[in-house]
Amino acid sequence: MNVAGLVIGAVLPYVAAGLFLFSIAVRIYRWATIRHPLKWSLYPIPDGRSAQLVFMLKEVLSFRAVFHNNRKLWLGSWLFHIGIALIALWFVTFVSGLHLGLALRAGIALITLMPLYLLSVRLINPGLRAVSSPIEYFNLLIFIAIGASGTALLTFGKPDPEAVRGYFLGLLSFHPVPLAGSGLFLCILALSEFFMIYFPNSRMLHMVSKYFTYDKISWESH
Amino acid sequence: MPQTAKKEETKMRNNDKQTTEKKQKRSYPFYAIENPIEHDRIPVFIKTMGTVLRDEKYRLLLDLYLNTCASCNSCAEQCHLYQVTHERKDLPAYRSNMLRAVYRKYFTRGGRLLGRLVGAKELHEEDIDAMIESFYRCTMCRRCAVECPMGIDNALLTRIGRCILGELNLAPKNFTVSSAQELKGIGNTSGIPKEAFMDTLDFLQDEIKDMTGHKVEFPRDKVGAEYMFIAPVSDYIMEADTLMGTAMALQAAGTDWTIGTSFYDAINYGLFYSDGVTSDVLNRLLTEAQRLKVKKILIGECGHATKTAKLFMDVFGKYRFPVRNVMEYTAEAVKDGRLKLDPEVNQETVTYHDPCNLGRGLGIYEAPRAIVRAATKHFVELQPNRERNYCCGGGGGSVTVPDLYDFRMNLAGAKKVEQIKSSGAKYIAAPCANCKKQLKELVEYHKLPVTVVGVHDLLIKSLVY
Ligand code: SF4
Ligand code: SF4
Repeated sequence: MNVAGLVIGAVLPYVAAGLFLFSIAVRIYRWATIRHPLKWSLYPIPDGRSAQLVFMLKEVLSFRAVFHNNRKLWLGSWLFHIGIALIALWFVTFVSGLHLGLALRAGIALITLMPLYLLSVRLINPGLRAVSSPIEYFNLLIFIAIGASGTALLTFGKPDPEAVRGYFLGLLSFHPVPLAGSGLFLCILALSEFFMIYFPNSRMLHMVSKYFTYDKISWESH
Repeated sequence: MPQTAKKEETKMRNNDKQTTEKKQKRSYPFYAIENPIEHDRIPVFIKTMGTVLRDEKYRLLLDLYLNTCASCNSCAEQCHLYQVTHERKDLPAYRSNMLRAVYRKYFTRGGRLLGRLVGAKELHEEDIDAMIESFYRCTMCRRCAVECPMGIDNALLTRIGRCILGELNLAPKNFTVSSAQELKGIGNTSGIPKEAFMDTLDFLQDEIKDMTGHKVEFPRDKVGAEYMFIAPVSDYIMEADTLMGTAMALQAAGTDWTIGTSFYDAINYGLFYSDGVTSDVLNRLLTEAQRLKVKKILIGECGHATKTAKLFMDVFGKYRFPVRNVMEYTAEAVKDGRLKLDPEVNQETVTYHDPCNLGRGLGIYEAPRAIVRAATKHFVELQPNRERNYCCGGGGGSVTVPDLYDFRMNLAGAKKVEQIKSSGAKYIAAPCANCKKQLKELVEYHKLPVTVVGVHDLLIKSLVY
């Protein structure tokens, strides 16, 4: 067992996951507790709680607004998020004993190719370029890097699923088994850890903020 | 690269060129400004921004709006201005990023450390100049907010930007002069002295008598009335029909109402550039209602005044009154049968323009339609309508700024012109003093075969006694 394996494989996962959850919780707590005396409603407001939930769900699942306004951008972002969802699905089922190999492969393909595609959409469209700061491209590059190393690992590394599952279960049961040997796997882990620490401080937290902009601001009727 | 993208690309490059040329000249002719601060604009700007960021009214809004834009430009697709100009400075997110850059640079750790990588930028004099122009090109119509996947309202960021500039005296002269007149001078934005105002009310009463044969009163200073009615004072100069129709409707519906003669201007330019002015004007209005011991405030055909009173009363108001817009009131009276209207007398095709502040701002979409439908024979909708209606092009107070005339006629109002043309209507009803002025100017400038009216104008003929 080497030092990198220990740090990246057994220590950082906890640090990253801890920071990830903690920072998100702090943000949510702040948003939920700021008093907001100015009403800044935007009509129409969906009528009633259930209509509002349906509206949000529709927006979250279909990216309705982007679909309506930029089909190219929509296609990329939507499939990209589907990719993330597929990987999450794989992870949850994987540690519970299944191995949805196809979901994993499709997920990895999507989080590699879609950011590449989005990158080109953003670079080619002058309007999008004008509103993007370097960080927009950087966010996409993180995913391309994670996805590319994932693809390489699956193609060349041929990891043993049982060993990987053992590793994750070890982490989840707080008895980490350091993963020695596989450089690519460590590389993916390191990138993901970086992402987890970075994510709550980036604008990618929009998955949570959305709820507040709608519910606490736009739908606050006077 | 697709054709349109190429066009945009060239346009933007030209823009960049123009901006650099402008930088060298540094004169700023977009609109006239009185006593602008010439020195130390940067520290004052940053300090004011700090105050705004800590302001309880805005903290949540700004924390969300400044941190979560996905840079998707859905807003741009919805913006009536960007769709016409395709200029970078008219991209809603680009404009809002002007504020984000300052926010990140001076108020976030990440921005201080990582600078341009995360969109943080040191504030320069030219940036302030760019903001002076860009924040006044946005008409604060909020059409973009309807389609933002993150729920961000770029119009609010425009307002905050203008408020910060306002603290540096960087606001159109027409706002500052009119507001000073309303607050310290004669007491209203049009400079109408009380005697002249009284005469106007008498004149309107006589006019109604001549036109319809009915004796309709404009009650004044009636203490304890249920409603204090207040219109944008410019209506007394430009929109006699609207006021006559309103008075006729109120009387016919058996309303207990009055007009205050110590303060009679609903206009509150503060909404467009200053919290201080918003608060002061609003409190003059509330003080008048308090003096008359009325139960409710009824605001005439005016979007921004209604919105300001309804939204800002809780945070600025010395007194609290229920506020209603006359659209809601009249529609209710039509519905419950207190007002009878005869549509046969208005045979021409009529369409309806949703003022941004009444529609998207307050959700008053159906009430005016109910009135127009009851008062006219052939009603057609503008396409698109309701929350997707286009701004008249004079929103955000720009209609009061003569320097912006060409801009309003050719750029900000261009979508509106298309929309009116394709409706085929002979009349367009718009219950807002700002919209009416802009629409009338558009009609004249573009020689459109349409007449602009208020909603209550339609009642003069159609009201059945
Ligand atoms: S639509 Fe919203 S998220 Fe997208 S660029 Fe505009 S403000 Fe940002
Ligand atoms: S508020 Fe209106 S004018 Fe301003 S950016 Fe949005 S759509 Fe454009």
